[in-house]
Amino acid sequence: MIYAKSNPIESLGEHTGKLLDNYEILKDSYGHILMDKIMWKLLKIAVEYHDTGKIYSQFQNSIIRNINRYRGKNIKEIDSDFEINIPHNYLSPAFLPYKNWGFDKKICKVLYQAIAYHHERKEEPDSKIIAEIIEKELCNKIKDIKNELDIEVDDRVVSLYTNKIKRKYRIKKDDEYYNLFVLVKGLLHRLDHSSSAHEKVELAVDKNVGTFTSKYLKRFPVLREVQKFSKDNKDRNLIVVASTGMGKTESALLWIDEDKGFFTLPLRVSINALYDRITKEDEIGYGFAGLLHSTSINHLEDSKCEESEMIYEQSRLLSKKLTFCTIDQIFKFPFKYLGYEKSYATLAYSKVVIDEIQAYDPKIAATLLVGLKMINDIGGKFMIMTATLPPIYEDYLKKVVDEKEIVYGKFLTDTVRHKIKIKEKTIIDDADEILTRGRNRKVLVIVNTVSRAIEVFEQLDNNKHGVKINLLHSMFIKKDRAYLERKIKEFADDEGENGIWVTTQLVEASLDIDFDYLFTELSPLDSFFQRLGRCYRKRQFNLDEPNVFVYTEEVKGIGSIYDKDIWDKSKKILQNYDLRELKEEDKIKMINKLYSRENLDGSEYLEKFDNALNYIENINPYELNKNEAQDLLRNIDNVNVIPRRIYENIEKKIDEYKSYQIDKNDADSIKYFKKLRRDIDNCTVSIPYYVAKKSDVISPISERKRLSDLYILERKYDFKDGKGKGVLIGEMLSNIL
Amino acid sequence: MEVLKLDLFQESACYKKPFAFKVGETYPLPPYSTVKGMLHKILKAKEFIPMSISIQGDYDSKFVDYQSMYFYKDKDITKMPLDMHLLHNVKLIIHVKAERQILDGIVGGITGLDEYLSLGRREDLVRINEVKFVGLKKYNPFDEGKNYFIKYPIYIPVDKTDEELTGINYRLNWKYKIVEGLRQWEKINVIYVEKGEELSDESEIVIDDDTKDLVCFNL
Repeated sequence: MIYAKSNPIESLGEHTGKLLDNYEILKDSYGHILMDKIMWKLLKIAVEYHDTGKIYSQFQNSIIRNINRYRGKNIKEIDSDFEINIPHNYLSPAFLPYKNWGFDKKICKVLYQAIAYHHERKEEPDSKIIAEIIEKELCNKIKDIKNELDIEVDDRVVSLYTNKIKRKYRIKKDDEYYNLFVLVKGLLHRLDHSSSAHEKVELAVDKNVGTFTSKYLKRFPVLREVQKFSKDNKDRNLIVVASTGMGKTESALLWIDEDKGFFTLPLRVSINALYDRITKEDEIGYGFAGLLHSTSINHLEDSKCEESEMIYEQSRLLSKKLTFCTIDQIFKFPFKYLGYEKSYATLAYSKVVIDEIQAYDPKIAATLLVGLKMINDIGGKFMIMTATLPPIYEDYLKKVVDEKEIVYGKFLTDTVRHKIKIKEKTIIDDADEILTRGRNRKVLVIVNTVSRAIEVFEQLDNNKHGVKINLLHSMFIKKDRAYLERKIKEFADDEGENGIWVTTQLVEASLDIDFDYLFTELSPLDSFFQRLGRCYRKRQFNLDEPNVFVYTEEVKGIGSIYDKDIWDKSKKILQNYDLRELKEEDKIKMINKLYSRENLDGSEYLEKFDNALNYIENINPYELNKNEAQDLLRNIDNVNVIPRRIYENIEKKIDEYKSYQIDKNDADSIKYFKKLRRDIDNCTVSIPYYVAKKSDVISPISERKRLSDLYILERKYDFKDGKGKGVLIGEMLSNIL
Repeated sequence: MEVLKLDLFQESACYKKPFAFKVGETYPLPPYSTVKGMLHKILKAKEFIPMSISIQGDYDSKFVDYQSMYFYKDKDITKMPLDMHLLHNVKLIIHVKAERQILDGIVGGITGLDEYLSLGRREDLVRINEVKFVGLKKYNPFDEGKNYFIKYPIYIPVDKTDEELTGINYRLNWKYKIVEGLRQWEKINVIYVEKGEELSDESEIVIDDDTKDLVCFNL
């Protein structure tokens, strides 16, 4: 038997057969979108030959050793003249009878490289050793390969390809067959990974989310304008500017319709909420969707416990018909990290929705925009949905994507929902105003930093006279934060409840809540408009006094969390709207003014954006690995910590996890192990690394690899009976969201 | 067709690059013009004699010699110490393709030399180990069941291959015309490819029937 895998044991023939089955599934499912015949031909060849190099004696022996070790077997190793183990993917191209196919030389290179790099390795293929292995060993195994795989192989094999797979000759974007290469290599990755996981490469292909959505929308008398627009422009790229509450989500689903789709949002909480909405039977009821972000397994566990592992795995493999995800899951490809072709090729036959693009920082937005251009280049489609679109983003897309490929739509309500009052004082000094309204109404306070939130909370709490005051910010451990988020929603939904919630911008986009009054520190306009969305969410403005109070003095977080230029310019623009009823059109005008190139000229913000665009457009491929790309995109300098008190409560569990022996053959054992990890994760809070490092308040939990990413936070944690101030790290808190 | 194969040795040599004024940098192998010059000297030629050349070879090491160098400064001669890069123990294999009578002339010239031969600078003496006629044949890796790996570093003209070869690109002098009293050089773009590099079947691989050395003519 020629082994391909050790766990479970699988022969080369079986493994390749699985890929071929998946190949047929993929072709049947999306062959009508990816219509390049050569591509399918090459992909099939790549599938058939991709693992042939595994026949090399040293590879076989390493699998045999694994089987013997983990399965208690005693299989004899193969005699071998060699000691070195060359990656099998560098050997596989030897068996290609490329002369029989008469491909163009450049197309041959596509094939060679797709196969040679179906695992990305840092080591350079060594021509000499490869040639020797082929000459002394592989040429004697041609018959074995033919018997195992039923493929054509020449009677004589010679490694004439090793120069063509050298790192410096890798196919890059200016190559005439670049798109072809991305597709062949990326789809080979997909087929290989799905087959190795014993999953289908594409699922629920005939389940059309558009149909489900239309059915759901029958509850309403007519399609909204934006929905009709999206439905009518299914085969185009869309940029849709629409007010909140216009039915944007449904529009996007109607646009995706029968195609494979990826729906992205900036925040995990909102993705979770959206996922629940789409999958729930009494709503859209589309049960075939996937959920993909760094903690999606936790949410799936909560909502779909039975199938959670499966849905998670299928989402991770990008097999779902429709996937709700954060951008870091699929938009790493513009960085061209090792293996980026996989997601890029998948997007070539998918539709991608970018919701809330205004919420990303300029660097991430730049990555997204370059990504959208690349998607358009390779045949995929995108839709940007937003309440406001900064003109600098639009300008870029207009420059790089053909005008005819994009359709713009603008859908604004006439409803006036807010009247704002600008107060030139600090929010702390206005506690009385806040308390007065909190007595009989729902009042939301949003400030810019955690420390300010705690300050305001204490100020209000000391003078509350019976008014209910609550606090929510990011410095709670995960499970407590989830509890508070649930509470604020319940509070907002309960008509009889009155009181005050003091929060940070954490609630800006993630939570679907509606309050009567908003007191907020001034933040940049886009963030400010998001905050407005939490007050009079869907209601017409009907008060004698303003429902939004904006504080402009001694505002926290300027220059650290928010760009100072943008904040100053926001303030200047907003001043024209004091005590005026705010129309949707006004918001668009303000954003257009704020984020225009003239207005930003010379600002650090614009420089960051332009530099990022420039960097990503000219990036050297294959210099980053996947994790490095992930870090760039998430822009995370965060560490996960467990406050000391919590740590002591769960120390037992942590010790158990640290020394737990996993039995890889026992699904329950693996499951238990993962559950331990999740329980621990639920007790963590994430804080900026530089803060933690600088103040020397963290100590590592483990010297060993397991849990080495977690730290103990040597600070007080205040949370009891569903209430508290969260992590108290004194001064340190001032720069945390 | 038979070509002439010369097996040469130099204890030290500097094949100075043009415009290397501050340091006497050397090419790793003599450029075409230098070899052509030596052959023309052997032939006592007064004008260019048509021929093609293939140059390969190796050396043990490089060293630096600190010497006086004489320059023109306006009309005066001045001198200045200069680092000269020198190759040590140079082994060269030169193939020459030309009409038979020219090749015979080279053989005759070598046997009847009236002065020592040099290659590079005047003081870079050449020992001739062997001169002989060899045949050429194509090497097909499939028939042989073996890849061809380059045995000695060699100049491969860029327009003779579409292969992705790893090496150093040079623009070597070949021959000149005199225009208004100045030599105007015809250049040939080559890649200097190190030993151990693999040749695929995309370029035609030609070897001699003597010790199966690769042959890559400049023209």
